[in-house]
Amino acid sequence: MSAAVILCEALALLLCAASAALPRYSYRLLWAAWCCGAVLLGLNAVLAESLPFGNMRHVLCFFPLVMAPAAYYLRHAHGEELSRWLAAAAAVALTGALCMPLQAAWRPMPALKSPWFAPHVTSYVVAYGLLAVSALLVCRRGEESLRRAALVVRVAFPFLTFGLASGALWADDAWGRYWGWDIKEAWSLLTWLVYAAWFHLRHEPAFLGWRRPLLLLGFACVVITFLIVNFLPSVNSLHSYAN
Amino acid sequence: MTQGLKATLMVIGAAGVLLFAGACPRLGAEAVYRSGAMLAVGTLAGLLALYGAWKLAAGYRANLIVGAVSLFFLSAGLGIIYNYSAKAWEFLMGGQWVGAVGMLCFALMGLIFMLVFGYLAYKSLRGRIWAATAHLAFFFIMLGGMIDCFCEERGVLQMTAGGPAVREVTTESGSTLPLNFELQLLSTDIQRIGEPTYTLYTYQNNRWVAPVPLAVEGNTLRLGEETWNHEMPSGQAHLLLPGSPMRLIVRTPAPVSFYDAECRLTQSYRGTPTTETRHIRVNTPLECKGWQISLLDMQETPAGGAAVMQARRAPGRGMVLAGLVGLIICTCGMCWQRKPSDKGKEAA
Repeated sequence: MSAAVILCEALALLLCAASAALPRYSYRLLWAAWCCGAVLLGLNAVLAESLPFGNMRHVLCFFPLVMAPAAYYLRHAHGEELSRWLAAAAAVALTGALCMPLQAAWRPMPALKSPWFAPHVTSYVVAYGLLAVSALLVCRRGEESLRRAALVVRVAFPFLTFGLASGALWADDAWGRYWGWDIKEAWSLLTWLVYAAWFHLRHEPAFLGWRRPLLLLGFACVVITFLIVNFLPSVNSLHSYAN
Repeated sequence: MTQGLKATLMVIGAAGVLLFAGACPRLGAEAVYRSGAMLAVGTLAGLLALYGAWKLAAGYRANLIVGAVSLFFLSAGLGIIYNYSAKAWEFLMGGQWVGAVGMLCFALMGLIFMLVFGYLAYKSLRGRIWAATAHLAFFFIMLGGMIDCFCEERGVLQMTAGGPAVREVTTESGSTLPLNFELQLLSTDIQRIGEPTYTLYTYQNNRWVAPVPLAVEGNTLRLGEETWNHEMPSGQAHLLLPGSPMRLIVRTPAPVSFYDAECRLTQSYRGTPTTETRHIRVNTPLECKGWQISLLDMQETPAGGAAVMQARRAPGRGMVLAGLVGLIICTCGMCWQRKPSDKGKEAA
C-alpha cells in the first residue's frame, strides 16, 4: 500500500519538476503530491503507532509534505512561482526514502516524549527542504536565480533558528543542559552560523562574489548535519535514536 | 573593504571565539581554560565585538544608543511583570488578597515600563528593530553561556526508593552544596516495551564470542535441544553456565518507554515547612530554590528501585533561555517582514 502511494507521489513530483512548459499545472501537481504525502504520513503513523519521525526513512517521506505549503506561501506572499524547484528537491528526498529499509515499527524512548519533538523535527524538515531548493537555485547562473535563492533562504532561516533554539530548550528539560557539544548540535550550529554569515555579508559590495559559494557551503553543512553525521560509524551521538 | 564589513567580520569572529572559549571546558581542555588564557581571549573578543558594533552603527550611533538603552529597560519591564505577577499568583493562591493586589500594582508598573520603552526602542531602531533585537538576543545567549561556564554547579544524586532524603549535593568540582530543600524518592515506575531478550555467548580465545539469541518459552530458554531456566537472581543480568567451554547467558532488558520518580519535596516556605509530592520524569524536571533536578536514569533493584538524578544550578540559564526565545521571534520578524519593495512589486 505505502509503496503504491510513494510511486504516485514520485510520479506527481517528477511531472511537476519536468513541467517547464506548463507552469499552471506544476503548482497543481505539487498539491497532488502533497495529498499523496499526507496519505503516506498517515500510513507511517499507523504502522509506527506514533509520530512517524522515528528514522531517516520517516523523515525523508515527510519532506514532500512541506513543499506545497512553501510553494503556496512563496506564490502568494512574494509572487514567486518555484513549484518545479520545490518538487525537484522533494523528489530527491523521496528517492532517498525509497533506498532506505522499511522500518515501520518504532517506539519513542522517554526523552522523545516531549511537546518539543514534533515542532523541532518539522521546523528542521521545512528549513532543510527550502535550503535544498536554494542550493538548486544557486547552481544556475544569473542574478535572478541568486535573488530567488536569497528569498528562499529568508523564508528558511527562521525555521533553522527555531530548530536550533527549540532543540536547546528541549535539551534543557530532557538532559538538564541546553548545550552539550554533541556532534549533531555542533554541526547544526555551524550550519546556522554559515547562513548567519551569509545574511551579514550579502549586501557588502566587497563580498558580492561570495554569496553563491556561501550558500553552497551552507547546504554542504546541512547535508553533513542531516545525513553524514548519522552514518558515521564511530560517532556516538545523543541524537542517534533510530537504533 | 568597507569599515562596516570589517566591523561585521569582527563581530562574527568575536562570537566564534566566545563560542570556542565557552566550549573549552566541555571539550576537555581544562588546563587551558583554568590558566585564564581563554578568559583573556573571551574578554578581548567581547571588546572587539563592542568595537565592531560601534563601527557598524556609524551614521546612526545616537539612535542605536537610545534603542539599546530602551531595549534594556524594555527587558527590565518584562522582568518586573514576570517577577511581580508570579508573586501576586503566590499570594492569591494563599488567599492573601491585599498582597496580591499590591504585587499586581507593581506588575502594572512593569507594563507601563514595557510600553514606554518598547515604543522608544521601536522609534529609535525603526527599520532595524528586528535585526538589532536579534543581535541583542544572541548577545544574551552568549553572556548567559559564559556566566554558566564560570558559575554553573552540577552534581549527581543517587537515591533509592524509601531511602533517606537528600539535602545536599556534591558537585563535579568536589564541593558540597546545600540544596535548601529535602528530596526523598518515594517510588519508581519503569515501563518497558516488550520482554527482555536473552543471548548465549561462548568463551573462546579469551573472549566472549558467537552470540546466539535464545528462544523464550514460558520460564525456559531454548537453543535446539538444550533448555535452561531463565529465572536469574533479581538485578542480575547474566548467568554463567557450568561445563566446557564456558558459556554465558546475558539478559538484555527491553527498551524503556517511560520513567517516573515519585518524590517528596520538603522546603521552607516563608518560615513554614511545606511538604508536597512531585513526579520527576525525563522531560519534566523539578525546579526548586534555583536548582533544577533532572531524571537521568532509573534502575530496578530488589529494594524497589533507584534513580539517578542531576542537580544543577545555572545562574545564566534564564538569560540563555530568554535569549533563545528572543532569537526565534526576532529572526522571524527580520526575515518575514514584508519589505516596501515586495509590496511595490505586488502592486505593480
